[in-house]
Amino acid sequence: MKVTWSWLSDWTALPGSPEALAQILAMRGLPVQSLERGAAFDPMIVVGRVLTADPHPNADRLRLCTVDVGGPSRLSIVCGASNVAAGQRVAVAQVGATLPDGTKLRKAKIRGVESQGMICSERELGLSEESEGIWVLPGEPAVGRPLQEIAGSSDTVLDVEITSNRADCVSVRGLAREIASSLGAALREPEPLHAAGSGTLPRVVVEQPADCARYMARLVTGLSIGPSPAWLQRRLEATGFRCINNVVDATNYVLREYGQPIHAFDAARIGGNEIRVRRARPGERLTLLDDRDVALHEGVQVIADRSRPMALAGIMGGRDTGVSAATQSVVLESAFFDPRLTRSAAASLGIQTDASIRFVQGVDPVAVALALDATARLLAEIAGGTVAAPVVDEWPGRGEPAVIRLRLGRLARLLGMAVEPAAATRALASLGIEQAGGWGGEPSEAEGRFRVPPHRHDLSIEEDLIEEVARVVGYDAIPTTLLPTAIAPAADPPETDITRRVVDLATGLGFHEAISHVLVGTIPPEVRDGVADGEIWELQNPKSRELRHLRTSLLPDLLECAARNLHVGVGDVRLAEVGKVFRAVPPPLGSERLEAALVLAGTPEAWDRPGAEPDRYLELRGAVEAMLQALGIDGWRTGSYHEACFRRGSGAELRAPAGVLGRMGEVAPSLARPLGFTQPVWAAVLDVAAIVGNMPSGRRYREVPRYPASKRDLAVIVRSGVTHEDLLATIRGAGGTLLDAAWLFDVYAFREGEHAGLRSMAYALEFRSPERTLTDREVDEGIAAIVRALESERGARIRGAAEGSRV
Amino acid sequence: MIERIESLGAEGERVLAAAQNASDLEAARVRFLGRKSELTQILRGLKDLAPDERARVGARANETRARLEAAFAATEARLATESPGEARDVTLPGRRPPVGHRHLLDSVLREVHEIFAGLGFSLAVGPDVEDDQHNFDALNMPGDHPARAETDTFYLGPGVLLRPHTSSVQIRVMESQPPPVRIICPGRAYRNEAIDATHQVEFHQVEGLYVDRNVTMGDLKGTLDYFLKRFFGSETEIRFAPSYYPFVEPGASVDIRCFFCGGKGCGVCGPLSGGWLEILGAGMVHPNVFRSVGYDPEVWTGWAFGVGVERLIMLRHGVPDIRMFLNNDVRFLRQF
Repeated sequence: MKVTWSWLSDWTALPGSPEALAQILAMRGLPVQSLERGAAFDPMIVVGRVLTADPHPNADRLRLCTVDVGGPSRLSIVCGASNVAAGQRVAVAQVGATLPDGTKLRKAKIRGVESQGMICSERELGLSEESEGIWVLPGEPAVGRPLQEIAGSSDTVLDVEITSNRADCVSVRGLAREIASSLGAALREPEPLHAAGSGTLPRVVVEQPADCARYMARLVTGLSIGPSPAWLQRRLEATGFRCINNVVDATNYVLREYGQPIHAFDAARIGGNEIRVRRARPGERLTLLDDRDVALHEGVQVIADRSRPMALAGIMGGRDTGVSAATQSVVLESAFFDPRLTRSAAASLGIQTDASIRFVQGVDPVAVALALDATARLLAEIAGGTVAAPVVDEWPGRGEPAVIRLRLGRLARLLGMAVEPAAATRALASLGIEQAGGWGGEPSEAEGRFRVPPHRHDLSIEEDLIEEVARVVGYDAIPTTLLPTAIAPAADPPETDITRRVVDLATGLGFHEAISHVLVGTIPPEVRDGVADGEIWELQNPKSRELRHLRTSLLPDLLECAARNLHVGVGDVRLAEVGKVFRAVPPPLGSERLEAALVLAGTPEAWDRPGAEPDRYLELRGAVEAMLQALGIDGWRTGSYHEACFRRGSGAELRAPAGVLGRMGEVAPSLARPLGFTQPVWAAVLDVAAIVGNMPSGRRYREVPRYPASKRDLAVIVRSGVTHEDLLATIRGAGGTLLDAAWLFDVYAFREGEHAGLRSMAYALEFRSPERTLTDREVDEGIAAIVRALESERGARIRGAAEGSRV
Repeated sequence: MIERIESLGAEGERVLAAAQNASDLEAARVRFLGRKSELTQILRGLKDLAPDERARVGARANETRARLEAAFAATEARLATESPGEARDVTLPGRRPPVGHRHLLDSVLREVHEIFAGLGFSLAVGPDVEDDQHNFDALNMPGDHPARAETDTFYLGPGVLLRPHTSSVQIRVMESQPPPVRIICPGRAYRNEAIDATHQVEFHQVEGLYVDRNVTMGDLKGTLDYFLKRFFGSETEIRFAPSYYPFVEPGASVDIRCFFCGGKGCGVCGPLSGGWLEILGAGMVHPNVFRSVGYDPEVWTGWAFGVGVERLIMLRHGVPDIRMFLNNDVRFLRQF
């Protein structure tokens, strides 16, 4: 909310500077967002009238002007602006004037002609950053008048951020109350209104007291409608209002000052000398001040005369009964309309106004009277009105203020700081929170009761009062202490642990950890992986088409990140992410699952990886295998995976005893190309739950071998349809318990010759017994069994068997 | 004199051990054993010493000379047997295996966790897709609270939404266990905001909650003071100012003294802040929140705080744009 320094100073003492005020307000929970200093003009800068503007005798681009500044003599001024012309009202800095930037004006000769001052631009006056030419003053201000009087302002405007609970501070008076409390100063309320005029008010009937707790009205007669005085216009404009005429401006002024909306009815247009506060009847219509015509219903409260609605209660007035140039007398309305009814009515009509916002927040029922009187007083002052003596005050909702108990023991327990009873009383009293009776009980357990002041709808429980005491005493006074008690820490959630392990393994394997978007655009069909349309979460109120669905896979956004990196010139893109993926089933909250993804694109740096595996599939696969091995997962096998996500024939699924670990392959061109990939990109997607499910639950020591192994190499020639895993399974099965380890060390595909179309696969085999050193015969028998099995089960031909060294 | 002989012996042995080739060896011979070497000079000058002195010094000098001669012979033998290494450019860069970097967000989330783990906090997690009960009702946010509006929160269905804060995890944890509770909940949060350099619709928060019989606002100050000093450095000054969040009472906003300007006021902290940077929101758990999870507010007290992780990082590391975090530009990732 915007407020000016001078306006606040009407209400309370202020600190030395606006900056100091900003600090005071911040420590009350009301931070100042911006501060706009007023423009103050030297009195030697005055309104002038350009009488002549002739070409300078010695310069093409300059003009020589004669200017009347109200004194006996005319000034001769050289001006460089092309827009200067005779007849204009301009701002003239006379010799001796100091410009806002500190320049002091002296008599000067410009191209041989003496200039007795300067015609100013808006920039030179500090009113704008840039300006073209001189500032031609609007209207016809009196020649010779100091510019300060028409365009200056010594006032500083503060924009204060007010949290939603402190609606009472959306007013000059409310802010002043906080400042006064902070400085130990008093709030300056105006003298009571003295109303002695004659006149009669319409009869006021509040039909449903629950809808309108208080309704007040006053009559002001003999008005002359016209513009408001400059001081009032300046305050209104500085705080964000548009000036209309003195009556409307006065109601806005009081709204800003007291936070109380005031409505002015043209007294002559109220029919039947009656005001009824009632619900609208079906079929009734009303044309509003802004010319909108609205159909009313029973959920809307109106202010009606005897026959028809005149205004939407607390929302907006009607056109017919509003103030016009011809208005002579007004009935001023100040009321407390029910917040809920006002909210639902405003919502149903789709209208929100400054007034409705205030009524929805809840106005101060006591200030209803103060604001009404303030408006009447202002109209007498600025619109020549006479305030009639009668006043209507229907206050069916009047009740005793709520009382809240405050226990100082509770306060100390919550704040960690003891406050003396007298100090608590003082603190609360400074905010208008009065004590109902004295303190009871022992000093440390003292218990007091406090009345909720009418402006504080946010105070309802003891903790609210504790906060008020703390605010006044100052949060700085609360001691800084550390946790006094010990709580046995609980184990961290398992998903956090596994997430970190997977990320650490991936970074160790050379992948950069990525954290990408949960909100994505259209999810490509290739990565749906069996997720039906209806199982994809879609936002009801998306920000854009690109931020519309919750991801069902990490892949699309991660691929996009990889593509962007390639595009900006990163050569070897290796990204890994562990994150949640989402499905809309089962209702209501759907399901969330952790997924891990690795993406490999581009080419490794030639120097760093000489002779690097050109097959990046094997590189990615190696990373996945290393990761699984580090997690203790073995006993998984690979199967073909034919989803559209991978290029045909490249997809592999990693199957483990306790569920599918994930899948990998070359990303389908239909997915990769639209992202801008021109080279193959490889990806692996793992299910974190499956990883956890397949991990050993606790690892036990196994004896490190005590006897040496016998190593043999075995190369076989097989059809290309026979896979490595097939061969390995046969080798393991036939090798028996003495075969300790077997691994592939070479693959060769014959392109021509007698073996064309076949592959040679070479394996290293290690035989070992935990109990003794094996004899050559035992090893030979093992090899023979493996060879027999490979021949019979896999149709393999033996290419050669060699003896390796003992290790 | 004796010390000088000793030091000559040690120095000579060191130089010989470091000899790489014949010229190193010859230079060492001339320096330590040659006719003009210091040791030879000492031996020649023996005749000028007093008899008992002559005996002592002479014995030690001869002993040292013998030692150095043996070392010379050994070095000569070493150089004779050791073939010179391949001549190589020792400035060539090494072949570097790929090195991956952890995402800065992850690193900082872990750092925050470690700081709080040291204070006995455990980690809790909850769903990103939440219901309005856990996200609003139980947090004392009334039905008309502006955060509920579609202009602030993303909705997936009636009463189903993407959590706009991690505070919902507080509720889930308190529902699932009796007090005391001491947790932090890191996670992603979502807000329907205009995206710019400091606002992103997806961001990360860490929520903290501490509930026990006598937990005070002083403890909140102490804990956050400790956390912020660990995170931003031990010089960090902390300020609490009143603020409002529906789920706490009293509520506070927590500022640190601006470390860009030292508190004089600058473009980062703003000219009106008095040199303070707002870092997080906190307060004492509102009794209605306790009631909603079945805790008796007369028995238990507690505090909660919530902090935006990206803001912490942007301030500490000078990251200028929040959008960089989810863009995963490797040139950004590998800086940390």
